[in-house]
Order: sequence, then C-alpha cells, then structure tokens
Amino acid sequence: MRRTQVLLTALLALAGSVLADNIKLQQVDRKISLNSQFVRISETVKVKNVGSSAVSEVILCESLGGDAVLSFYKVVETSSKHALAVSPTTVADAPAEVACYSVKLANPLPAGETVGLTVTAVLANAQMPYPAEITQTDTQLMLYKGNVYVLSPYSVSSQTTEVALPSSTVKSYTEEKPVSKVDNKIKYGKYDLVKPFAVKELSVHFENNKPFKHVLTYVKEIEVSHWGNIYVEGKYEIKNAGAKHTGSFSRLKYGHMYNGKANSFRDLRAVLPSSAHSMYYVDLIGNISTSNVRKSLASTVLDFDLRYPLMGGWKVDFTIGYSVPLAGFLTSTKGGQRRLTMDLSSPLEDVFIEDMVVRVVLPEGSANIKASLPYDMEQSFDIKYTYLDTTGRPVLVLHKQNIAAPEHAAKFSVDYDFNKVHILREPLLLVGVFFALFVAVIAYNRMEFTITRDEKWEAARSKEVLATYMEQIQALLEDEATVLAGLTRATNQVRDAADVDAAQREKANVEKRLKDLEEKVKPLLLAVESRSVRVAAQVRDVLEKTRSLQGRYYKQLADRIDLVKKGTGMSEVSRKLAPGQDALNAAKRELEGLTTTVFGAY
Amino acid sequence: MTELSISSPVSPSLYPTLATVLLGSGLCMTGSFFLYEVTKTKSNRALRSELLLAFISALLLGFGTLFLLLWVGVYV
Repeated sequence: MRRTQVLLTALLALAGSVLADNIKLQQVDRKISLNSQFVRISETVKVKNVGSSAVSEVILCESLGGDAVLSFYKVVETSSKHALAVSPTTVADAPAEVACYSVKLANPLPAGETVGLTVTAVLANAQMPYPAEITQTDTQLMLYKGNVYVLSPYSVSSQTTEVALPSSTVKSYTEEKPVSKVDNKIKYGKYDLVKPFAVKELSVHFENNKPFKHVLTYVKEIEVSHWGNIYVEGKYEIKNAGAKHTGSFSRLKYGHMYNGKANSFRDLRAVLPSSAHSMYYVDLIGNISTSNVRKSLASTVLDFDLRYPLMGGWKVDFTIGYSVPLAGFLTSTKGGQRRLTMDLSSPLEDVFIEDMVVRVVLPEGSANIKASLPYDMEQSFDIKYTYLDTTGRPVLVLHKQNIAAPEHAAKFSVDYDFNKVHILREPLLLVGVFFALFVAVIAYNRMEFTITRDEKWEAARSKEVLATYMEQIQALLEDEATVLAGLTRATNQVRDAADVDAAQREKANVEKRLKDLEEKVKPLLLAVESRSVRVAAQVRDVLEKTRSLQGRYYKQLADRIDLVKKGTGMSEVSRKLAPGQDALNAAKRELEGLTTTVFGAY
Repeated sequence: MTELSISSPVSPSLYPTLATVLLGSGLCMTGSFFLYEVTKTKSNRALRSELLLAFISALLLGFGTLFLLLWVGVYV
C-alpha cells in the first residue's frame, strides 16, 4: 500500500515536470490597460506543443500583487472565439502571489501544432494610491506593480508587453531594456527566450484621475407578483476607493477647480431595462432629485448625482428602485415550471462591487426553486412577509464578492413551480376578513346584553313580539291583495259567453286561496289579542274592511258576467260597470290607508 | 423552443373597471345586509338569508379591494 502511494506521488511529480517541458509559448503579446480603476490585461498567446503526445490542458498564470483581486478571467480560442473551460489550479514552483488556471482546450493539441488563445483578465485593487493621502488640490497618483515578463510555467520564446496609461504623466517606470515610452503608452519588448516563472518587478508610478467607484455592499431585491409586476430595488453603499482625502475641504475651491476635479466623482449611470417604470432614487433622508432618465428602445438610462461629491475615502448610501411588467421576464418552461430571467449584477456602469447579495422574492405557493447562474454564487433561502401574506414568501438569496462591472453583466434565471390556485390566496384572505366582520355583526344581533330584566325590558320585549305578529299579518294581507289583483285581471278578460266558465273557475280558485289566508290570520289575531286588546280591535277593523272589499270584487265579476251573457257590447259593459269600479277603487285606497296607519308602527 | 410569456390572469387594463364595479356592488350588498339586520324583528330573521347576504357582500368587497390595490400600483 505504501509502495503504491510513493509510486503514485513520484508519477504525479514526473507528470508535473513533463507537463512543463512539452509546451512552449511561442509568442505572447500582452496589453495592460491602466486606463480606469481596473487593470485590464489582454494576452494573445500562441501555444506550441513540442512534446510527443497530444495535449489537452494548458496552464496560464497571472501575477497578483498586494490586495489585488482577480475578479474576471476568461480564455477564448482566438480563431473560433469559443470560450474555454477554466479552473483554478496550483503549480508547484510558482512564485508567491500568482494565480494559475488550467485551461481545457476545445480539441486536444497534437504534437508539433500550435493554437492561439486570447486571455482577458480584470484585476481590481491592483493600483495602489501613492501617496496614499492627497489634499483637495493634488492630483491622484497610482502605483501599479506587476511583472515585466509574462509569468508562465512554460518558457516563452518571444513576448511583448504594452502598458496603456490614462495620461502621459508618468513619475517613474521600470526600465528593462528594450523599453520605450510614447505618449501614454509604455512598450516593453521584445524579450526572447524567457525562462518559466522569470520574476522581474514591473512598477509604474503614474497619474490616474479616473474615479475609483467601489460599491461596498449591494443588496438587490427582486419581488415578483403574478398579478403583473416585478419590483426591483437596489440598496448601495458607495465609496471612493482612491487616494484618501486629507486636510480641509473647501466647497468654493471645489466649485472653481479645473474640470478634472482630481479623483473625486459625483455622477453615476445606471442602465435599466427598457420597460422600466416608476423609478425612485432615495436615501434615508428622502427623495434625491438630482437625476435624469432617458428612455430608448434598448434600455432606460438613469443618470444620477450623489448627494455630495465623494473625495477619496468618503462614502454615501442610497436606494434605487424600479418596476417592470412581466412581459419579457417571466416565461413558462417546457416542464410546466415558471422561469424568471433577469440581470444578475448591478445596473451601474464602471463600478467594482465588493459584496453583492441578490434576493429573489417569489409569490406565496412557489415551490422547487432552482437557479441557473452564469457564475458561481452562494445560495440560501429565506422568508419575507409583505402585503396580504399568510405563510410568507420564499426568498432565494444569492451571494458573491468582488464583482467588476462591465464583465459581470449577465442574466440569470430562476425556475419554480407555481400552482395557479395559489394566486387566489390574497383575494380569499380579504374575503375571509370581510366575512368575519359580517359574522360578528350577525352574532352581536343575537346576543342579549341587559343586566337586569325589569318592567322596561319586559315592555320592550312584548312590543317586539307584537310587532312580529303584526308583520306576519301584514305579509298575509299583502298576499290577499295580490290574489285580488289577479281576480281583477280575470274579470277584465270576460268578453263573451265562452269566457264565463273560465272566469267562474278563477273565482272559485280565488275564494279558496282567500279562505286559506284567512285561516292563517286567525291564530295570529288571537296571539295579538292576548297581548293587546286595543291593537286586536284595530286589526279586526282592517279585516272587516278587507272582507267587504272582497265582496265588491265578487259583485263586480258577477255584474260583468250578467252583462256579457245578455250580449251587450264592450263599451256598453265598461260604461255600466264604471261606477261600481270607481267605488271599488275608492274602497281599496281607503283600506290601504287604514292598513298603513295600523301596521305602520310595527 | 417557444417560451410562452406568462401574464396576469386578468388583463391589467381591466383593473380600474373591476375595482369600481366590484366595490360598488359590494357596498350595495353591504347596505342591504345592514337593512335586513335593522328592519327584521328577532323572530322573523333567518340565519340562512343573513349568511347568504354576508357571504355575497364579503366576496364582492374582498375582490373589489384586491383590484383596488392592484389598480393603485400595490402589486400584492
């Protein structure tokens, strides 16, 4: 067992050294751009396989000095422009502060062949302010420390390096011949036959008044509502990470300074989706009005100014939010899930984000939440309670550090299940609350709150019971009136002898129904009598008048039948019956008046 | 690979109309509920019709409030 272990390690060591021998970098052209707060390195590498077998992996390295952070690293095959898979690795004899990556080639490189690779790397915090503190009127000088030669585990046959600076003011730079400075470019090269990991410090001390915009913390919250809106809110804490400001700050002098204003900055730009609306730019104090919005087909550009200009080392915090409609962001996938696609990083241009948290708040009832991200991030879950929530909304929390603005602008998507029924949770909650209020009213009306039951309470109770009976009697009287109206209609339809039988049948029907109603009234009347004799007398009066009115109706019908049987014409019939009809109507009105008087109080 | 865009179950342009109509009719039903409560005497009340009126009013008011919230821009 031990012998195999020793053998394996020996083999690996051999493999390591073999790896370094069978690849040579024929030509490396490197461009280091110091033209902003980032150090952007672009290398075109020609890799030659000088070994005997095909090679599928190449190791490329970058030197990181001090606090530098490699926030972006991408390798592309020059001819096909295919991005290649890159994974961090360690190389045995690499010097300190070197980050190495193992690049997997698209096709294995046969012996004797060459392949061209293009490397893009973005370093943040690689420029040190030197001096570290400046006064208001000083210009900002930065110190960049790198390596003159391209650090590589392989030997490099020929290489050139070009350093691009923001201005032509350079205090000092490493003079390793051949070197030449033209305007704001320093050209190093060409160097032949450099050994692997040849270390020679490249140090450039130059003027860089570009703003060093660092976002210390950035929290982005995306809240999805299936009723038609996505809220996006970003909370920022921004710091000027350039040379620290020391001494006094004179607003007057600041206003009169030349256009550059050294390393201070106040303006920022955010590029938002084109359908963004309802934007707000606020901080703890309130709304900040120094902002401007331009809409175009491709995007919405928000130019905004901070509350005050940031000198070196100063910081400020604010919140920017907007809303977008669902169209273009929320789609349904083939598997029946819902997919939310949004921008992952900050919409701000040209910033370096030290700590970013993205919170995706999905509606209640979402399940099986999965995110597909363009780069590695820490994932966790949380719960948020907001409008009309019962169990809380699931929140997907993504966390990443050291993000450089333009390179990390990418979209991400979150897939989740959502049963359509869950969208009804909110309205049903509202319905439930209103219904509970009504039920409370119903319950209250059925409760008795008097403490002592004395005569006053008894009197009120008996009046209530009386009113109950009177209401019921009144309802029955109304039914009677309806029946009698039917009889009137039947009466008016008697035109000749043939209709008489129908009319007689109708009359018999009406008589029967009226009799039924009378039966129902009897017990009620007795009950009323037991409570109040006076009221009972009034009711009896009304019933008497009702009966006499019924008699008029019957007489009217009988008269009409007689006239029709005699064969009189219609106009004659109407004329003869008119006085009877008028008397009937008068009696009816009188009865209605009496009913209202007697029953109106109940 | 056509991905269907998801939208609200009710078109957002309908929110104002729905809110007004539902709230208006909800208030009318609430009115008739309270009229019923006040005019009918104790023994003549029927629990069934009370609960029916209450339920219809609650339904209309609840949905009306939801669409009112959505109309004003509080996308719940």
